[in-house]
Amino acid sequence: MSATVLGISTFVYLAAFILSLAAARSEGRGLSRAVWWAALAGLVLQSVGMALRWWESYQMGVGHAPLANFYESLVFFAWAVILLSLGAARAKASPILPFVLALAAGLMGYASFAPQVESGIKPLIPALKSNWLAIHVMTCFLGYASFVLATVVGSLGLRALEKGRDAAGLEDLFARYLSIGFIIFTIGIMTGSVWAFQAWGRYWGWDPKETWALITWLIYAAVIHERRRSGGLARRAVILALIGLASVLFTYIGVNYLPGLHSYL
Amino acid sequence: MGHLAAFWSSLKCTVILLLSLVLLCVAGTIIPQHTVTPVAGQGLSAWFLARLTPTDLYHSLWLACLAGLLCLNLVLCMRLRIRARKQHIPAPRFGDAGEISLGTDSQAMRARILRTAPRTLRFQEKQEGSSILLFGDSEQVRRPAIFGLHASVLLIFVGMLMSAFGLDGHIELSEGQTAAQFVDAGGTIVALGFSVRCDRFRVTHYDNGMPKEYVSRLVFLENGAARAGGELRVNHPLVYQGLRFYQESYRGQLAAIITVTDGVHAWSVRVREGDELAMDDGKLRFQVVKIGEDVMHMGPALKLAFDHASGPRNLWLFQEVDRIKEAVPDLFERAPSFNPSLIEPYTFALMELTPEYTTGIGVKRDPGAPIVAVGGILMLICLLIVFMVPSLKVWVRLEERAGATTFKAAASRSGKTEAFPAAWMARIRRAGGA
Repeated sequence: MSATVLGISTFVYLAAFILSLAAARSEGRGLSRAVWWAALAGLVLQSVGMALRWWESYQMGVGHAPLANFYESLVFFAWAVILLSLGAARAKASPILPFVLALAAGLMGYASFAPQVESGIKPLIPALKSNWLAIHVMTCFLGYASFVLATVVGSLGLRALEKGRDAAGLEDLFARYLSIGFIIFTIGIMTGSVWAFQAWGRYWGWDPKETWALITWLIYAAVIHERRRSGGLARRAVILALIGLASVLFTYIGVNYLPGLHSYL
Repeated sequence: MGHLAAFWSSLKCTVILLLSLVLLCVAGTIIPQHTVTPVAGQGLSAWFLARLTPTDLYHSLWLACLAGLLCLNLVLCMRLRIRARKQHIPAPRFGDAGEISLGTDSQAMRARILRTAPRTLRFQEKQEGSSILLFGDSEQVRRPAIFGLHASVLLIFVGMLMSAFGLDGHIELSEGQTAAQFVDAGGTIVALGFSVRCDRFRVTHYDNGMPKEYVSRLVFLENGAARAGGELRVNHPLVYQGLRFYQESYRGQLAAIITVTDGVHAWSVRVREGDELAMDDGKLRFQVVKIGEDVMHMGPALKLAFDHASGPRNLWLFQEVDRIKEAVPDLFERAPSFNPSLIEPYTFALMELTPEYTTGIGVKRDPGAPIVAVGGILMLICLLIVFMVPSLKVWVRLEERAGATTFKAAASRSGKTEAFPAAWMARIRRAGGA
């Protein structure tokens, strides 16, 4: 049941993306509003799908939050990106909606259709049976999503500035997403450290996933300092944010190809 | 010298150091890493070489130098923040802001402005002839938080340094076994100061065969008396006398119950591979070399090694030796090492084999962890203040002129001039009934 609902939400995101392309060419605000509402409908459906999957895991006797494997992390990543973009998009940044809708539809589609992504509900191995699992994974992925949005907004804002257009709204959003992402991702790293201390007796072990999370954190710390140094939406800060985005992707996916303790995600 | 100090306290320096740390960490995940321990007695140059190797970057001088330089940068930035506290009111940026008349009494107006102001603003006041200049600045709230944020990084570094003086060891215990010492990460045997016994180890599985739980039942003993105990599970460490015990690993093995008799006395003992035993007041000594469920396709057996007066001897002790002998009547002549009475005057018998678990327990003490935790909490609180409190400056000039108080205001956010906050202006008007 949850798979069906999540599948429908994927198509809603896809439809909203196509609508957003049309809205970008339209003069009126009606289509833009329709895109926002379609994205919200997709988010609500996806939330229902995730809640159903959680409930189904209890029905199977292995109950856990749907944040325990690659499939579930892809779904949550898509959910986080849409959630964080909608609040801002209604007021100021409709230009970001086509990007985030394409990303969400892509993540959901990859989770559902890629043969190497195992979508079944699996019980938790002993190392993952902890209350820290949900808070750690949620904060890390909300942080990733914020960083993705900061980079998209920063790139769009820089492009607008270079074309001589007003980019004050995007500049403000760039700062907000950076701040939110940095706070949440810091909480993600901290909760991971506390969990590692509880599971393995050390808060930091230079495991590749940990190290790449630190790399991402350091890059976005550099973006924040560079933004302050250059006084706003400067080219150098945006380039660093793009490098940060590559680091987010490597922290999430690339690092799984390195040996380590986080190979299950 | 001034240029050098300015560089080391600059944001440019911070960005360069952060990106240098990034490059080092990236190298650490690409180049295979392993802990390099300098060999004692080889001098300072060997120590330096060991600490410069790219295969142990996380314990290298490269990382230590970068962390040290970042600390220097942080300290110098913090020093600037302390100095900045003595700042005077900056020149107002009224620009072309218009004047508004809002009542008659400038003191009442002043009180109204302060009462309705955002709570994150701290005000300074200056009398300029007949007018009052109010300057509100959220940096008074943000600056200590930025200071605390940088201090938290230093605190985390101090905690990480102290963690290097902690304990990191491992104990392997079979069910029923007791240990009074552990092996640390360098291979040194360290006394616990008490004993720990594993009464039971249990592995449970889900229906699909995946492991569900590993549980060791531990008892902590002092002078042979049990003082504490509990179930040790993954994610649920036990703490005793400042040491933290973690469920790390396990392995399954076979145990055997054997009996030995010399015709007068009889002994029964549970043995595992590798055990060295002494019986009969030390007259009989042997080692358990191997335990197998189906040795040479003749069923369960043990291989025992004896240090006999006539030289080393091995004994293959089969559980079903009588059945084998029925099939091969001259077995002991053809293979004397199969004879349970090979070592006179003793006769051995294998009673049964039972599966048994050995649990791997981590033993840790980390004096730096509480400091890192305090640093982490401080970092989080300061991050929330720094990012959630906008960098806002406001200037308000109140002037009594011709029986009315005029109000002129300006604001800047993150260094950029912007309109006086409309919501605040509405509050000021409402508070005065205007």
